[in-house]
Amino acid sequence: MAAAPALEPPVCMEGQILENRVIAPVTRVMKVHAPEAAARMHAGQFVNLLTSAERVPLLRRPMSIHRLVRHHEVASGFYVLYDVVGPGTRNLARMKPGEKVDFVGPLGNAITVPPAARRAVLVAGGVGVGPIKAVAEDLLARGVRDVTVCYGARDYDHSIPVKEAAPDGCRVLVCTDDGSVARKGRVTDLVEDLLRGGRLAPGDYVFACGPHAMFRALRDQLRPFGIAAEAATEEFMGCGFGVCFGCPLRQRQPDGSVAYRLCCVDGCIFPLDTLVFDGDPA
Amino acid sequence: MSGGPTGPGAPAGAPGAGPAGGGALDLSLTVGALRLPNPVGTASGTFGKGLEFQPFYDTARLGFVVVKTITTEPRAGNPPPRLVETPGGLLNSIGLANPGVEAYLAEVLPRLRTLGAPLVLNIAGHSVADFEALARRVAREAGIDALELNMSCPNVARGLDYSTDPATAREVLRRVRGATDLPLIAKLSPNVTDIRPIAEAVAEGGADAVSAINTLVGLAIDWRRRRPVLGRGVGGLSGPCIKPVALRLVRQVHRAVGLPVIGIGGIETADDAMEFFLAGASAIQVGTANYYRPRACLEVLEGLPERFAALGARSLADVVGTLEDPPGA
Repeated sequence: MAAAPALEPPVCMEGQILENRVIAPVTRVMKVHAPEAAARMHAGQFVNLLTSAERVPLLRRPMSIHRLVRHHEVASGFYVLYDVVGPGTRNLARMKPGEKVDFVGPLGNAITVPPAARRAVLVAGGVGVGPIKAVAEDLLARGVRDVTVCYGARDYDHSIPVKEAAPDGCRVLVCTDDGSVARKGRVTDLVEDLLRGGRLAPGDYVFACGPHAMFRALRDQLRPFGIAAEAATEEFMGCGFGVCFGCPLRQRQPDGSVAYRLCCVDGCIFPLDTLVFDGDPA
Repeated sequence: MSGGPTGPGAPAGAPGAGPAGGGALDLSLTVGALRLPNPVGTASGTFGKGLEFQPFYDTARLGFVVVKTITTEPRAGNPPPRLVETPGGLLNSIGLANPGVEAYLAEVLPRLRTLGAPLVLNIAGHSVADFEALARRVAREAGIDALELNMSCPNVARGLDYSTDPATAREVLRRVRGATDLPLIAKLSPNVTDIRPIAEAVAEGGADAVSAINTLVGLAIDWRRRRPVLGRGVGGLSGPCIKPVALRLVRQVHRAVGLPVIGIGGIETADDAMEFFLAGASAIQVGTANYYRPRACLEVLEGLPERFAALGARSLADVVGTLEDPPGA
């Protein structure tokens, strides 16, 4: 098991919005200039954005770090990726370059890549594509040269372009639930092709981000092959830094018992095969 | 009752309400034998295990810290979803998730002692005897400045009973009072027809202060699924939307009992805190705002001098309970 990077405490600050652009009919990316915070960030972590000074909605909105921005190897900011679905993300969509956005971050843990990993498969369901680019760039920087991104979206409106989903140098496989973009199918169908083709095997690094149903299907799919994966989870959060206890997930413990763990501070990344989802045997 | 600065609920024993005739602002107060340097603290359940806020500000500047409720036995907490956002508020059903008193005292308390602010442990018993035993157990530890009794958590079985019936409330305080010399703060529920008899009962039982209010019991519904949104059904409502309810109840409690009142309910700014002081609170706790504005407590504290000056006030005694009734009321 590789050592996880040492994580620094979060900051609460304002960053300057540099971009806030549409990349799919319902999806946007926001680029934020915040060198002090960016210097602390690692792939897989998240930030918690205040979307309204008038506190409507009341709570911040947690967003994966979509990409870390570096200028001449110095961290200067970050991107987040979001679907415009409710009052918080509608507020975000109205923000303009030059304005400030208040955020807390970095939060949560970072990816843990075994040093021996030579190949990686990143599995994204829907807006779970958010952290993929940062993770892929991190892997490439570590010398993992063979990186495949499997990306499944609902339909055309929710499907982002390949160049937004992953950096150059990755193989990207795409599907949509309704076939409106690329092939019709589920993201686990893409993973199945890799497994059958011998392009995913034990020892490869697997990272997944998406809904519970995707996590369950992927876990059940990988288990017979003995392939481990990291799951970047998302739950509704009150605070994002471990004080409200509002974002529990169920995790199988080494002794076989099942305990609640907090998505925000115990994760948001967990070993996929330790998570217990609704419908799983107790 | 007068409710004025020298009346019931004035900062009890506050050292002379500041230097007579001028000088610096004095925001200190006393609760029982405990002197608090200022009236801004954290509400239980919103401050985690205490260290989570250290990246955001120096917690030693707080008037006091109230930490998440401790129970005798470990509690895993309620099934998710535990939170739902409502207009201006947050409905929660956390279920007093905590590692139990022994693990807490061994693993968490040593870290809390490093916070630098007066430390208030919040305890909840599952019976009157359990309240007493829990108080006796934690009181043996050093570094605890006061106890707040969670008599009104809406998210556990029987959780509301201790502050909905005056006789039971009195008995809880009497038994805990017999178990420890620590200052006792009784946290009251708003989910009652009349809060005053409960406040009077805890005062008779030996409370040194009353904190009000805990969350309001509420229900969020997903009509498409014909189910409550929260995993356990009902939850406790907090946030700015409950502030008017809290202000009214703080005023009622302040007028009813001669104890310091610690106001809680939707406080996120110094202006909110001033409203509570005028209503009769001698101190306040910031709760839900800690989630979305991690520096909220500090911002409230730093905003007080300017607002005290606007009223010509030099101490809490100059503002606490000084709300005037409208003409003809």
